Parts: sequence; structure tokens; C-alpha cells
Amino acid sequence: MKRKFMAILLCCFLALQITPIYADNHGNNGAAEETNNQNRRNWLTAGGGCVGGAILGSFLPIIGNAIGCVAGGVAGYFVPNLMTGDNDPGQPAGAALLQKTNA
Amino acid sequence: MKQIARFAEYCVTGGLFWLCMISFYTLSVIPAGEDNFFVSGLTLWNNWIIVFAATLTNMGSGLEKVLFAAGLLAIFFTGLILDMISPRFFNSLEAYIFKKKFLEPNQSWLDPLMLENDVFIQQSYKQYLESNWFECCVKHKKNYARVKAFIQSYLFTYASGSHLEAVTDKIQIWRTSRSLAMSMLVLAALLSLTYAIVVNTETLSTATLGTTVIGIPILLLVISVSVNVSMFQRLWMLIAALTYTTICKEQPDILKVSRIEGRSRQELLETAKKIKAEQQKKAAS
Repeated sequence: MKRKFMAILLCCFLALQITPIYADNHGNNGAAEETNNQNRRNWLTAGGGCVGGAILGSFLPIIGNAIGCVAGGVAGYFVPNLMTGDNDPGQPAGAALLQKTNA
Repeated sequence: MKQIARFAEYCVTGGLFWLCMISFYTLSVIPAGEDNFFVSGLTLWNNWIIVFAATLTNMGSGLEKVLFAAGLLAIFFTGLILDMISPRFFNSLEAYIFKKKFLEPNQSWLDPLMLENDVFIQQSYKQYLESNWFECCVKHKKNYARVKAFIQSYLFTYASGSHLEAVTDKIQIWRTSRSLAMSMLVLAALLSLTYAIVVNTETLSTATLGTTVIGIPILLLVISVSVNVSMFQRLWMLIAALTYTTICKEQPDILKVSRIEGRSRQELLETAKKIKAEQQKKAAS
């Protein structure tokens, strides 16, 4: 059990270390690069939605996890794109949340 | 004394939850592209404290006490809520671990005990033991609760006081750890869902976005599950040892059956039935 746990923890730490490799390439602002970047973002937010949905879905084990994962993934993929038009892209992260909280 | 311990337990879990929430809120309001994340966070906290202290000074002295009491109540209430909802999230995992790590390895001496009390427990025990992992996690959670409650009540009926104190202490620690794990789980869900859906992440680099929405929540999930599982295993290891020694002391006849080696479960159960019938005959004569 302890070995398994250590292995999982190590994988998580490695994943955290690897992510900067896929960081944005700010030096090249070509259209293809921009689309690529946007795609990557979409998949990342979809992954985030999937993880969050699966955690919330634990309320109803296995079936709830699956439903939460799919629903969160779909929402994570499509909702940020819908919201992009409403918000000023230059504003800091969290400002949208702050605006919503204040409202 | 126990009420104070419970109050402290709820305060600890509620306090950690609100600390997690404040950290999460801080993380979401720090502007993207900030070089020193840690210093920006501390500066932000410092500003909040200054504003809060100034507001309190302007409003008068009585308000401080009211706010302190309200804060304490909120923390206590949060701890209570976490304690109440955490079984819902961790029950299926615990049901599986309980079967794999406690019932199956100790089946040889648990079977005769369950048979001895067949009127109450035998059907639930049999169904639960014969279920596969899916049934165990989803379908037979009531049977799990019933078997668990039976073993605990057996221990509370027959075990001596000093042993019970160790068990109640372990149970309390396990419940606290489960609530702490729950608060980490809530933070993980909030972090991933808010950053994936609600917050505008246009200015965040993909590396930061990936770490925030996937890396940190998965890490929190792993930590919370492992904390809960390890505490649960420790608790039931102690309960298994205590139940066995209590049976040895109080009802040693039950263990006669488990000492017959090289026989199938069905044969053991039949032998247990025979021994029970003989005992009943003796008692009648």
C-alpha cells in the first residue's frame, strides 16, 4: 500500500514538473501557434472539469463519478469559449470570479 | 471531557476548511503573470488584515466580540457539516477496504461468530462477503454498515473498559482525518471546476493552468484518499485484534471451529452448527 501510494505521489509530482514543458511559446505569435495554444487550453480546462466533476460525483459512487467526469469535461471544454466573448481578455485571472462575487 | 474533545475536533476540521478556502480565494485574485506568487499572496493577506482592523476600529469595540463568536460558530458548524457529509463520499471506498482487509483475512474466525448470531447478521454478512467490487461499493453499503455496527457492538458489549478507550480514541482520530480529507476534496473540486469553467484564464500560461486545474486537484485527491484509507485500516486492525482476543476470553467455543484446518467454508459452517446443536442439547438436559 505504501509503495503504491509513494508511486502515485511521485507520478503527481513528476506531472507537476513536466507541465512547464508545454508552456506557451511567447516568441512566436503565428496564427497556427495561437490555434494550437487555444486547443491545448481547451483540453486542459476539459481535463480540469473532468477531475472536478469526478470528485463531486463521488456523492454517488462509480456512476456518479462517470457522469460527473463527462459533464465536467464537456462544460470545461465549451463554457470557457462561450465566456471569452463576454470578458476582457486582458483582465487578471480571478477578476471574473471577483466580479461575479461582488455582483 | 468528551464534549470538549468533539468541539475541538470540529473546530480543527472547520478551521482547516476555511484556511483552504482563503488560500483558494487568494490564489484566484492574484493577478496572472505575477513573478513571486508567495510574496504577492502574503502582501494580499497583509492588506486584508489592515483593512479588516481599520473597519473594526471604526465600528466600535462591541463588534469584535460578536464577530469572534460568529467566526467560532461558523468554524464549528463547518466542522460538523464536514463530519456529516464525509461518509457519503468515502463510504464506498471504506466498504471495499473493509471487505478486502478485514473480513476476508479473518474469515476463519468471523464465520463461526456470525453463525452464532445468525438471526441478526448472517444474511447481510453472506451477501456482503460474496459480492464483487461493484456490488460491494454500490449495492451492499447497507450490509457493510450492518456488519460493521455488529462487530463494534459485540466489542462494546464484551471488551473491557481500557480496551474500549483505545478503540474510541482511534475512532475519533479516524473521523477527524476523514473530515480533513473531505475539506481537501472540496478544495480540489472547487479549484478544478472554478478554474476550468468560471474564471477567465486567458492570461494564464498553459503550464500554470494545467497545474491549477489538474495537477494540484489530483495531488489533493491522492493525499485525502490515502489519509482516510490509512487511518481506516489502522482502526480496523485494532478492532480485529481486540475482537479476536475478546472472543478468546468470552466465547472460546466459537474458535474451536476455526482451528479445524484444511476444510472448506461450508464444512466449517456445518461443524459450527453441530457444535451449537450439541451445546443446546447439553443446556436442555
